[in-house]
Amino acid sequence: MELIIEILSRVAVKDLLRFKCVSKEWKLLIEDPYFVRKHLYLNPYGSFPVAKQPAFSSLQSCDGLILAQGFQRLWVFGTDGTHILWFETIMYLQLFSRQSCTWIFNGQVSHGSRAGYMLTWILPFFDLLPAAQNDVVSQRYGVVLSSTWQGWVQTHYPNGYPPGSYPNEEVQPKN
Amino acid sequence: MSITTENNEKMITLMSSDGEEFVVEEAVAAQSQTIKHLIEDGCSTEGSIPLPNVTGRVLSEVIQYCKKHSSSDDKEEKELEAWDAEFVKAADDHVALTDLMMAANFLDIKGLLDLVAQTLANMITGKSPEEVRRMWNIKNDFTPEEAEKVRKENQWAFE
Repeated sequence: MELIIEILSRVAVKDLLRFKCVSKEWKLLIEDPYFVRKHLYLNPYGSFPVAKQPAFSSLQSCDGLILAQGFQRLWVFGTDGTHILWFETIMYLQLFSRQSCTWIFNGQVSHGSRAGYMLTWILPFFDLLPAAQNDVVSQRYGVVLSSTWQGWVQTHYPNGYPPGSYPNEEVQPKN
Repeated sequence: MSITTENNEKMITLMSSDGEEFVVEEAVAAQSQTIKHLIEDGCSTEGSIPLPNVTGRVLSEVIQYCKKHSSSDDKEEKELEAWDAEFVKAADDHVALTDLMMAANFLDIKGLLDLVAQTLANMITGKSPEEVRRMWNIKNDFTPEEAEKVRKENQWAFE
């Protein structure tokens, strides 16, 4: 089992999610908080299996800030505060819970006529990631969470966060 | 049994589970933290160090790796990388690699463990759960209903 952990902690998230089907033991292992942390530690920059389809051109060459998560909506902001995209429909969404430290990711996302894939895995703790390669078939996409985003949200949403922004209270930043 | 070579390198003998003996420089063997600790604890003074978990075939591969990595310095990093790539390629199939990984784990050789784990990780990338099960003889213990549920929850990973 120890060896399986060593191997799986070097595998991309998309493969891991598929390998949950291998056996009950593998599923438990992949969902285990210890394993999740180990995987994050080993793959701080490489865990974003994104941009399968060249659907979101504005996302491919910029740093995106995945700011808000919800079953209905996902906002993506640039680190400079520009509003890049807003997705209404998110399918196959699983959320990360800080308490249980389980996976969070957004599966297939559709956005009007520009339907396509944006597969994103949100880090359970925020981390800086490199800019995405300007490569539409890249399996990776960097998402940057700016340390100043709280201030930006307050400026743009003085009356509080847009409804549906947060899946649960814990993720909401403290003022 | 402590032998010294002409250039005063201390040699030690490693014995595999199937009784094969390997005489290596202490510096080479000490790349294994397990062996290093055994030497420090004075376990090597009496004859050879027995390694009951490692077969001769695997041990010879491990020694090959340790020799290469103890003789190279930093500026040869590129060459060493190429050598590592060839080394795991020679091990070829996942069974041999799994054996090698178990030995690296037991002997506590981090570089080798990382190298083999990464190679196996690359091997299973893109594979289906069924293919992975076949590789390591893993039993699918989900009921059909459970399997369907897990699959549905992670549907996008199958596309």
